[in-house]
Amino acid sequence: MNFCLRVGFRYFRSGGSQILLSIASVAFGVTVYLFITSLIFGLQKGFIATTIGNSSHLTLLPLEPEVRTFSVGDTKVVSSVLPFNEREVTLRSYLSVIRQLEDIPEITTICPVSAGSGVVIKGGQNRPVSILGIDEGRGSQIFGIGRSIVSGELDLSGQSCCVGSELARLLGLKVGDKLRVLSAKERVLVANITGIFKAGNINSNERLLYVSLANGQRLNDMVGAISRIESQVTDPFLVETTAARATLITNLKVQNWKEVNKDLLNGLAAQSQTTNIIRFFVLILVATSIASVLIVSVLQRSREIGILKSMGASSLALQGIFTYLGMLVGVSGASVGVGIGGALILGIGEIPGNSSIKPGYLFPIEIQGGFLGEAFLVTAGIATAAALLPARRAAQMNPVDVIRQG
Amino acid sequence: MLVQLKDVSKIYEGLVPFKALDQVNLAIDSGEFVAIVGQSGSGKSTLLNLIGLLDTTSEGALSIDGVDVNSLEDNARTTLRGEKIGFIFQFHYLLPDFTVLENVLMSSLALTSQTTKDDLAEAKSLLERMGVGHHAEKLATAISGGEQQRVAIARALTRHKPIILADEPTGNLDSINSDAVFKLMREIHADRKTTFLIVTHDERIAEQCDRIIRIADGHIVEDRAVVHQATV
Ligand SMILES: Nc1ncnc2c1ncn2[C@@H]1O[C@H](COP(=O)(O)OP(=O)(O)OP(=O)(O)O)[C@@H](O)[C@H]1O
Ligand SMILES: [Mg+2]
Repeated sequence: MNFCLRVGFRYFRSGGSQILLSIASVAFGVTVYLFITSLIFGLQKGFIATTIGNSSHLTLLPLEPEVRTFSVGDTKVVSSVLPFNEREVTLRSYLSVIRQLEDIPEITTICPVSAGSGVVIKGGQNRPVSILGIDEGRGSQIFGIGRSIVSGELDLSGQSCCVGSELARLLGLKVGDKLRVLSAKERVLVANITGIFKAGNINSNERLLYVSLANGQRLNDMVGAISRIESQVTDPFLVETTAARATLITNLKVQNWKEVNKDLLNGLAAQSQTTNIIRFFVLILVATSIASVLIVSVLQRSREIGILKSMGASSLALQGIFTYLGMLVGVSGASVGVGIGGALILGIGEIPGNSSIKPGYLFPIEIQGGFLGEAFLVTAGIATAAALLPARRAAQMNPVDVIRQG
Repeated sequence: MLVQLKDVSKIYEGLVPFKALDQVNLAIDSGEFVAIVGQSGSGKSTLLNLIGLLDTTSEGALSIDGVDVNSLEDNARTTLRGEKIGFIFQFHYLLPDFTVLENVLMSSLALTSQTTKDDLAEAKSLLERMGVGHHAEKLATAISGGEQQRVAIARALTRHKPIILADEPTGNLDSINSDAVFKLMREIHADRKTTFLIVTHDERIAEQCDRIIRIADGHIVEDRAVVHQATV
């Protein structure tokens, strides 16, 4: 293939503005490809981090009351084994469940939660809240309160509590104030506000009240029991396998974040699909530009092709020449694109601004070495493939036809 | 026989099929120096293209150096062509992006995908012989038309191919250049005993060949040896 490469390379070198233009269009294609890939990657990464970074990946709940059917004579009886009193179902043996979960290596954080409802009273005003009793250390990880404290600090020890910024605004609360909490179970806590948090979700900021687990259990009337266990895993996208294990070990109802966030996941999948469509069209553009340049080149050089054939060059060799030409254009365009485009995207990624996904920057761009390699390989590959058709055309030229026209 | 045609016809298929050669019988021996003459459109190029394996016969048998070429696959024809036959056309068809020397080497490269030291030495000596050795490193487009045609001849002569087919090789040249080019071909023939088939409109040049084949309307109407007057 020495011959093909030599002739192909010479055609490349002496191709002039035609070749330069096609290199530029490939480079442009690579840049767009890279930009889209990095932008969507950054966007999704940021989105996922804000959405599931501060939430439970795996939630363990007590089993629902069992529903049984049995027949008495001809009649079917449906019975549910309800708890003996009217309280919600709670998890009593949670300490042993936590120990079981601690044996699953993928689970990084485990937090028992006692949840219930109530009102907070300040001055003459009151507001409905969800009372969440959590383990302060582990809960701050899952609920992200530690990071979102805007005033005071996260401290749930003793009789303290943390409230959301919206609730604080509505009731005029500030750190150090005393707040009266009346639960739906008619228990009372006079709590000391130690911190005010501002989460991403306005509803949370208005409705959530964090207290210690012990205070939560008392207020929600479930001393010795909890409502659920929340946990996080190492790789949220592989949560299903961990969920299956947890179900097996604990025999509790296990809910993973994907089940709860179906809409979000569908949205992300749709976004990825859109990205793929854009990338597909960019590649089509690259392919067409290479193919059109090569078709012109083959036509312009048809006499040379004829004479090379008359000298004994095989059809395969001629196909090789123009395939190499396409490959050279593709590889140089992709190199230029990866170099200049990569630098450009890095630069764009540094532009300061106010994106909600990546605070402080205009675009939530995340470029990765792998993207450069991928963009390079994909475009160079597409370029070479696009050359095949024109190259075949060169191979099929009949020397008599082109020489006769001389 | 180096080239043998038995009842060869060539029909160009098209809207109206056209019989460009009709039942042609011809035998050419190794070392002959033949002129092919005839009116425009008589079928000279058609005959040369068939012998040169650039085109296929419609009827009849054609053999080159004992090989029945009708039975050959496309690739085998290409290889046989590259090994046995050198072409010189009215137009030089040099590759414009390559130097003069590279153009001459191209016929080795096209055939074997490489060039040896011997190929290089041969190419240089042929260029010298054609009087264009000093242009070896110039681009093929940077020399005159007469010089380009000499380079094309040098290219056809590489690798000692036994048959040279020349379709109006001097058709684009002025009379001084055309005489010079023809003289070079005669010299090579004297040296190498290469077989030459030269299509020409120039009766003066035809008379300097050893044999003249005249074609009219796809038939050979005359085939005679030329008796040369003793030259001084
Ligand atoms: N591809 C083709 N399709 C149809 N007819 C053709 C084709 N090639 C040649 N012909 C016809 O065949 C006849 C012989 O053509 P050919 O080229 O062999 O003539 P020629 O003797 O070489 O003429 P000239 O001296 O003008 O070069 C002509 O009438 C020409 O029109
Ligand atoms: Mg002709």
